[in-house]
Amino acid sequence: MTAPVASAAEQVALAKPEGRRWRWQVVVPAAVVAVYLLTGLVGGILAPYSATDFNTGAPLATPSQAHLFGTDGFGRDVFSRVLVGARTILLLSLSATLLGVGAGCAIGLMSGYRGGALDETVMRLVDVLLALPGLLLAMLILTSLGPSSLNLVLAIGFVFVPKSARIARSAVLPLRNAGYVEAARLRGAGWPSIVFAELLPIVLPQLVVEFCLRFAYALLLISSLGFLGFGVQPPTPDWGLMISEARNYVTIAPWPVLFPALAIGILVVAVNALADALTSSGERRVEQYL
Amino acid sequence: MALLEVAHLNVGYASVRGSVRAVRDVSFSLDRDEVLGVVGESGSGKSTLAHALMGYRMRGTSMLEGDVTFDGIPLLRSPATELRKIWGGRIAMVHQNPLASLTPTMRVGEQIAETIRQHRNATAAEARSAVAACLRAVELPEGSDIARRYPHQLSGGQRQRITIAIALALEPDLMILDEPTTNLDATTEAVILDLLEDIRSRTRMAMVYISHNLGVIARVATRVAVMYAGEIVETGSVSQIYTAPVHSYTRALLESLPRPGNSKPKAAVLSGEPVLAAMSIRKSFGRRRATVRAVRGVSLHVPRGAVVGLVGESGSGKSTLLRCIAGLERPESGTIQYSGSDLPPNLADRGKDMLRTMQMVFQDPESTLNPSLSIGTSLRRHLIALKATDGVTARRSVDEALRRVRLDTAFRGRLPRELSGGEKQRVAIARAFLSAPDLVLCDEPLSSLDVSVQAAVCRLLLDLQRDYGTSYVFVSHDLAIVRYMSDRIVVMYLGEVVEEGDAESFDRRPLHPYTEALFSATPIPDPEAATARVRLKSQISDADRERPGCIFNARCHRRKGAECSEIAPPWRDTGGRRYRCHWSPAELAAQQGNEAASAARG
Repeated sequence: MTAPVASAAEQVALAKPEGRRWRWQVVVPAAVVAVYLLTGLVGGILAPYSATDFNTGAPLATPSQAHLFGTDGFGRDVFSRVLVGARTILLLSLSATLLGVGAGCAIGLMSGYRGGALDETVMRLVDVLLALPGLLLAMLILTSLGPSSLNLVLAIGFVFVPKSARIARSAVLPLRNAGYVEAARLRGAGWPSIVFAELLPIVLPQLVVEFCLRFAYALLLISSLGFLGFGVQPPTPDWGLMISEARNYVTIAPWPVLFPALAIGILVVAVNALADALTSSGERRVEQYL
Repeated sequence: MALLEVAHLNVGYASVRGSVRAVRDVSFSLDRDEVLGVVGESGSGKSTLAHALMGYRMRGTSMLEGDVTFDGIPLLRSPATELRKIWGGRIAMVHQNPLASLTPTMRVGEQIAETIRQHRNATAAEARSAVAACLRAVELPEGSDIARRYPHQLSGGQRQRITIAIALALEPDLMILDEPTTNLDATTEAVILDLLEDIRSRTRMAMVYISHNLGVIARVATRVAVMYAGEIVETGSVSQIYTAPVHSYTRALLESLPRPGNSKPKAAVLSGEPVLAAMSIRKSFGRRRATVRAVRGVSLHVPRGAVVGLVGESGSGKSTLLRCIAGLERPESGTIQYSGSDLPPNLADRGKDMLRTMQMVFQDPESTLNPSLSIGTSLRRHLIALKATDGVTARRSVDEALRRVRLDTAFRGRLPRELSGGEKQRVAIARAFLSAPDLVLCDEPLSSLDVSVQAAVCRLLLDLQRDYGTSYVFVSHDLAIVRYMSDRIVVMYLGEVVEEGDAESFDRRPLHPYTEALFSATPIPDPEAATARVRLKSQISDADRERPGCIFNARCHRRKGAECSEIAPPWRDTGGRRYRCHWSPAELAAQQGNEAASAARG
């Protein structure tokens, strides 16, 4: 056996897509989300009125120059309340999602990699939790812990753990016996280092998508809980709560319901669209890996 | 007039970086009764050519120019309705992966009948008898229920027979075969090649046989075309190509092949204490009823500085044995002595010192490196884990390791997806050698590489072995490569060792009937080579049952009698070799001699 020959494959080298190209499917929803985040940061400064002051104008005033989104039943400026409310909901849903998806992914990655009886046990527990509807589970936790922002975050985080654990586990399962995992075992690496240093970077694109989807769901959950009276307590401006408070006179004055509802809707759609776009580009990256 | 005339064929694909031409200005003609062997490496455009020959536009094709004339019909300019009559009816194709080309939810007999009904108005009874004829033609037992089975219920060889049966169903004039035996074991491959030869002599059908394997091409083809980077660089008769190749690429390709009796330079005297001694290793998978006994009490000795080749078909337990030694699987019983001391079966119980001295190279170059880490990071991690070093020293060692496997140090910053298969495997070898191990376990490190890349990686492994005095356990299903690499050869069948001995002694002749079959199945890149034809019956899946007799008796072509299935055969020692069989060496020699004599007469 002699003379190595330059492989034909190297010569023809079918072009591989390289680098990341920003596509509008990613850019547009990301820009929308960025506007919301910015509003969450500086919304309080931009607000023309205080979000909690009564009688900034006549009650249920129609949208005008002075009150862009009109006023609610107490004469509070809806525009200011929507702007200030952005911070509450974004902060709450971001921290709840981070907590829930973070813990869920850690559990799923570990359980999926280690397998065996531990995996069986964890996954049956996950099955039990998945059998309960998310909103009901969150309400159950909130009624026993009492309504507060911290408890809201804890409750929603807890609701998210089983689903994220499932996703992370299924992402890591096909990689368990890859050569690089076995090479890591042969240099004496323990499971924490294999899971978090070797496997996590590979499944990260999938987990980012999961994070976006959960984030959108957290927005809905917090708004729903606010609407039902289990979430943020008055007078804090919260979009869900605002809809709930103004729903009695929606037929005569739709704007105190309409604008917070639009705010929730657009954000949820944007986050979902972002997750979708990331999935399709993520899948392509994942394909290259496998 | 020739049956198939190809003139100035060009095929291109659209890709991100613009168009890539996969086939460049290919011209040839093929007569009836001819078999054109197309040989080339992966990426050389063979499969693209195969599809273009049928006038088929693959997805993503951006350019399809030139002329393909089949029996006077210009295929590239024919409408789809015309082509559909020709495909399957007059030109048939057999693909590499039968599991992908068969419909998983349809009985295989029905799939053959479907092809017949598509092209001919056949009654149910006619179709049935045609299916039976097809099954007969591919030598599948007719009376059995094979036609009523689903693809997943068949073995790989049987599946490929079914796809060939579908191709034969309408007695086409031309059959295009795209690597039809690449996914099969050597023994199954040999049987399929025999079948194709029989079919051809019976029907005088023209064939285009595409393969990366020069040995296979030498057996089936009458004429050979060598493809390189989309071009046919050389064509000629089989004897021309194999004995007097003109193009430098063809020459290099031929030289890169190991041939029987071809061996690395002889190693130094192997004596003293073995570096590894595994005793009676057992390992089975699954629970209760679905148990597979992968390794059944195997003992393995590796002399210091030696290469021990472990050879056998898929399912012989060779990889499992290797993984038990490495500590990646926990054997059920058995002990492993390593450099004179006991090796704990659990990886966690092996200290850094032990891990350092035993490393492994894995089979699949695509998954051997972490796709999200640069080459440098991967290597540095491995080094720092095994030898506590500071960043600067580690960096220098990584560069050195890359140079050792003949890669540029610029590879440090690259990601695995930017590397070719051969380069990935070199990095994996560099990783295994970072800690200067005493023993490297090689799990089919060459089998997913192209022939010419195989040769280079093979040489690299041997150079490193010589420089470091490392021992290898080298697992492969390819007897020719094992023979080239090894000082000792161990042949495994269904989890047991059936024969072992000095590699050189295997040149003289095989002893155990299974080894004999393996030798006979190995395709030799020499059309003149006379090989004894030993063909095995298809494998019966009894890997799960413990039987009293010889493990090989159900497939053995030299079955002696009832004792084979009832009494465990004895080990027989003869001149540096030992094997397990009821036949003595003298009896085997007599049988083989008689057969050779009658073959020479006939």
